[in-house]
Parts: sequence; structure tokens; C-alpha cells
Amino acid sequence: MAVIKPTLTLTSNASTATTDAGPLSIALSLSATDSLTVDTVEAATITPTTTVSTLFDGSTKDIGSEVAGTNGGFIYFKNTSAADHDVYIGIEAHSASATELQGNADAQRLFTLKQGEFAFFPYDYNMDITVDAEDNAATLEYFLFNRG
Amino acid sequence: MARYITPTLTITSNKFSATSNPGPTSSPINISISDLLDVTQVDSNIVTVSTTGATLLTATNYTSGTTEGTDGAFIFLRNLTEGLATTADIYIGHNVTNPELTSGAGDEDRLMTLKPGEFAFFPWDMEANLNVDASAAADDALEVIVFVRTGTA
Repeated sequence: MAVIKPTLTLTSNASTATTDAGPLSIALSLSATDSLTVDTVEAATITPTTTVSTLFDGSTKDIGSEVAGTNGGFIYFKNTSAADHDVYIGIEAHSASATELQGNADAQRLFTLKQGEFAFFPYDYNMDITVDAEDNAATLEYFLFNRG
Repeated sequence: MARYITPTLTITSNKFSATSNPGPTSSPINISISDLLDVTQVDSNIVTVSTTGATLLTATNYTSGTTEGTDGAFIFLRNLTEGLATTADIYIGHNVTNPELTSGAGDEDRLMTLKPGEFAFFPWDMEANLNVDASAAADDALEVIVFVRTGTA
């Protein structure tokens, strides 16, 4: 088994700061770190298009087992687009076809990553992860660390 | 007036051949990313969890609009039960109506499991509720911080 160590810090200045004022009257300094046991790693930088596609088919991961806390992985996403192109991340049932993620009232769209934004979260393989983009020039970097 | 937070994430590992805490690849991994995010409202809460599903964050409490990249928030979640007498795996789901999440296969509403000590940081477009369920009842088990994107209607 192998180990990765993610560390997240969240900081902000007080709201009275003259530069990059924060949202609270006090400065914020939060830190979280962990040691995660993993085995395989998938990584790539892809060019999602304005047509939705399936990025991760959860039913093919860990030979389709989906036991909470045992089967799953940790996803790192970063919108690496060279220009201001949003990337949309969605979820879809294994049995369903991926549906477009751009537009209002789309319960399949989990989040939008604007240029330079990132995310790190566990993923249980119970559903598929889909990807869509505002522009065909958008790029997305991902790492999927499989729970060991 | 714009208000900012700065999240910074690093993910590191040793190379696979390391004698202590070997990593998953033949070369070390060293990912480092930081960003400056424009936010307004901040909601912070420590939540008690149980084996009955519940709505954690109700999308309509934050916005009546769902424009991608405009309406939304950044979510920080952390399972606080590590080292406690009662630990729990905490399940997070993304669904409009059904907050009940099970630990087994086939629950297509369960997005992630946070084991004790694990955390997550991700945007949320408020297109559906975020729901919570757990493998055991535990008081003050889940830290939840919501940073609402500036521009959210």
C-alpha cells in the first residue's frame, strides 16, 4: 500500500484589510491534513469539449464494488485553461447517458471550476463523473487516487 | 466590495521505493495549487450525524438562480470523529429530494465517504441539496464551512 498526504489551508485577511480584504471581521486561518492509503493513480490533462462526456465510469472502478469507505478514490481537479473557460463537473447514474451540464436547473451539475480553480474530494464510484466545458479550448487536470 | 479567501492545497507522496510511507508512483508526487476566490457570505457549523439521512445544505436557502460559475459556493467538509470514542464514516450525497444514504453498492446518491480525519474542498453549484448520513451516530462529527461565491443571486 502507498500513502499520499493532502494538506489544505484556507486563509483570509480581516475585512478591514486594505488589500484582499476577507469576508469576516477576523482573519481566517484553517488547516487540514491527512495521510491517505491509496494504490493506483490515474492522471491526465484533458481537453473537455462543449459536448458532455463521461470522465470516470464508477462501475468499472474497483471491479464495480462500491462499499462506503472501502471502495472509492480521491479526486483532484484543476481548471488549467489558458483563458477564461469554465469547466463543469457532473454526476450521473451508471445506467444513464451523460447529459449536458451547462444551463440552469441542471441537478446533474455538481460544480463549476473557473479558470485556476481546483477541488479535492473523495469519490465513492457509486455514480459516474461527467465533464463538460464552456469552450472547446478549456483544459482540465485530474488525478484519481484509488483507496488502498 | 470584493472579499477574498485563499485556499492552498498540496498533495505529496514519497516515491514507491521509499522505506517509510512509500507513495503510489516511482517518482514522488508534489502537487501544489493556490487560488484567490471572491466570496461574500460565510457559514460555519459543526454538525451532529446519525444513521438517518438528513439535508446538510439546502440549495434554495442560498440562491434562487443556478447560473454556472455565478451562483454557487465553495464547501469545506471535515470528519471530526478521528480519535473519539465513537467514530463514524460520514456519507455525503447530492440529491434534491432523498437524503437517505446507505453504505452499500447501488446507492447512486452517495457521492463520497469521509472517513475519520478526512476532508474535502470543492465548489458546489447549488443545483441540488447536499445530504448527510453516517455509519454511526456521533455528536459534533462534521465540520461544514460554506463560502458563497460573489455574484450568487
